[in-house]
Amino acid sequence: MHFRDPSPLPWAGQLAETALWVRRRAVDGSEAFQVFSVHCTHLGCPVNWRADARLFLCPCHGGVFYEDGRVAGGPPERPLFERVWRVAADRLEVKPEALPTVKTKT
Amino acid sequence: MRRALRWLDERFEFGDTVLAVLRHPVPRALERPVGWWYVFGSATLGVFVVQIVTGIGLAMTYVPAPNSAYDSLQFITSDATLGALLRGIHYWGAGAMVVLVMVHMSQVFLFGAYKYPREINWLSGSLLLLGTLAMAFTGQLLRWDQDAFWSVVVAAEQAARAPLIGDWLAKLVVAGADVGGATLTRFYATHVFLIPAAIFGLLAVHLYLVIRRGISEPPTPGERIDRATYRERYRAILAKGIPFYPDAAYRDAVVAFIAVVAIVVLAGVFGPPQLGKPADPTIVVADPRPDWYFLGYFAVLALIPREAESLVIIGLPLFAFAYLFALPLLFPDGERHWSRRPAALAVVAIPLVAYAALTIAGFRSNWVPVLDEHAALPAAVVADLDPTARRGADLFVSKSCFACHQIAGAGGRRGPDLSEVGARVPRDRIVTRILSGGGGAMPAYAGSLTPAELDDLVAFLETRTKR
Repeated sequence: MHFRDPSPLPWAGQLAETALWVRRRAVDGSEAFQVFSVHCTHLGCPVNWRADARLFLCPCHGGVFYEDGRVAGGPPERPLFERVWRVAADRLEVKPEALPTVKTKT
Repeated sequence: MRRALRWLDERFEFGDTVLAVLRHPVPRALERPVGWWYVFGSATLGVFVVQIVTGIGLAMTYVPAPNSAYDSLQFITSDATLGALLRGIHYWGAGAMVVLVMVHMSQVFLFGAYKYPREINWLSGSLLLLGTLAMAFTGQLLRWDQDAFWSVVVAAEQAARAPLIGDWLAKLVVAGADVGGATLTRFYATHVFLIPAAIFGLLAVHLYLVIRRGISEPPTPGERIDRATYRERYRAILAKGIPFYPDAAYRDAVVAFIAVVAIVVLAGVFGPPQLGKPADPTIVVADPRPDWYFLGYFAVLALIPREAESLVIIGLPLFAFAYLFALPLLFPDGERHWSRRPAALAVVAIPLVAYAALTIAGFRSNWVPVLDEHAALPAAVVADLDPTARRGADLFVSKSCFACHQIAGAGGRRGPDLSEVGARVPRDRIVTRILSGGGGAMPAYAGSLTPAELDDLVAFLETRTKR
């Protein structure tokens, strides 16, 4: 999913966009989501979803995550960073946030 | 002509200033072949001048705005007259800078030339090394492709691990909360104004001291530096010395010239580095790699154990530079010749071998799953399989097992080679490993394989009894 920075600099171009991974699932009959930052929790490279294997793989240092964000292998110590979301008028809204780092998110 | 020169000299009086400096005496020993070891500083300076010239050339066209930088680089590379050569020279020159600074520093270190009274030559040189590495890093970011974009992110994530100031550092690196409109201009200003200004200042100090303190005489085993008598002894050496220009300087000129020609040839033959896809946070299928001189460090980040990670990321560079800065202050006198300083040899050789090995590891990147959409098992492997094993072979690829495990010489190298797993590992252990993972890197597949799929996959693996 693409996500646009609410207040980009006019010359930011493509950089105003952010990619997110959204996992949609049903919890107790109602719809629920998990919205992940694409940044690997090791050093920030973009994790890549392998649909058949149901895994997120990182191309830099080999981090692997399960579909719910838990670490499946490699250097990362913590699950994928999640974003705050809500559903309003049938639209999924995601809260804009700074680059997530091991320090800023616990 | 002669009259014009005399007219100018009457006004400038170069004879007893610039010329006198050029003709400053250096130890006579530099006439001997050992003099060829004293050329790497000048070679570095020569390449630095090339970097300035080509950098200015690039800056005339490069647009340091995120929405245009990539296009302007495309223009320089494919449309501008000699643009590709210009980019190529700047790129290979950057690599040459890193290499030559390292060689120069190793030579100075092994010759014990950093000792009294040349400690500040060494300290200013250490800062120049820092400046060179900072230029190399910021420079590759200005390429503003996917490698560059993700390098900024990784740099910020590393900075964030610093204790106390981590957050602030990370924000400083990306110029804001996230990589955005302000990031590239900050890196541009840093690369084009800030660091070069620092380098010019340091270079002035460095060169002033080279002239003022004089070039160190080639060391002799057993001849120790004694602070009480060294200056007297050195003065006597210079009294019998030779003028730097032209007696010693021709060697500097020859090597600097070779270095510059080598760069231009490399640029002409191999050209500038490929521009990857443009920097775009929404392209998540990326395979970011730093330029070759940082690949060793990239490998460290993949290979160190988790527990030591933050310590290595923050501690190792800090330790390395603390060592560089403390060195001349801790060991200002004593033996200079490398044959009497075995520890000094180790200090150069061990990191050199280690970094070379890590660079090779970084090129191979065995720890990375091979994410190839068109990956396929070798034809010989899938020929003659029964239907169950055949389905298993397909699953082996589609479930990304193949991304980490080799079969018959193909596939990823992250996990163990499974070419003969059927002969090596009993069925129940194969099943357990697939379902519950383990070993630090293997994910548990219990949630993503049906029992039937598991049977197929195991049936395929059991056919693998020989390479």
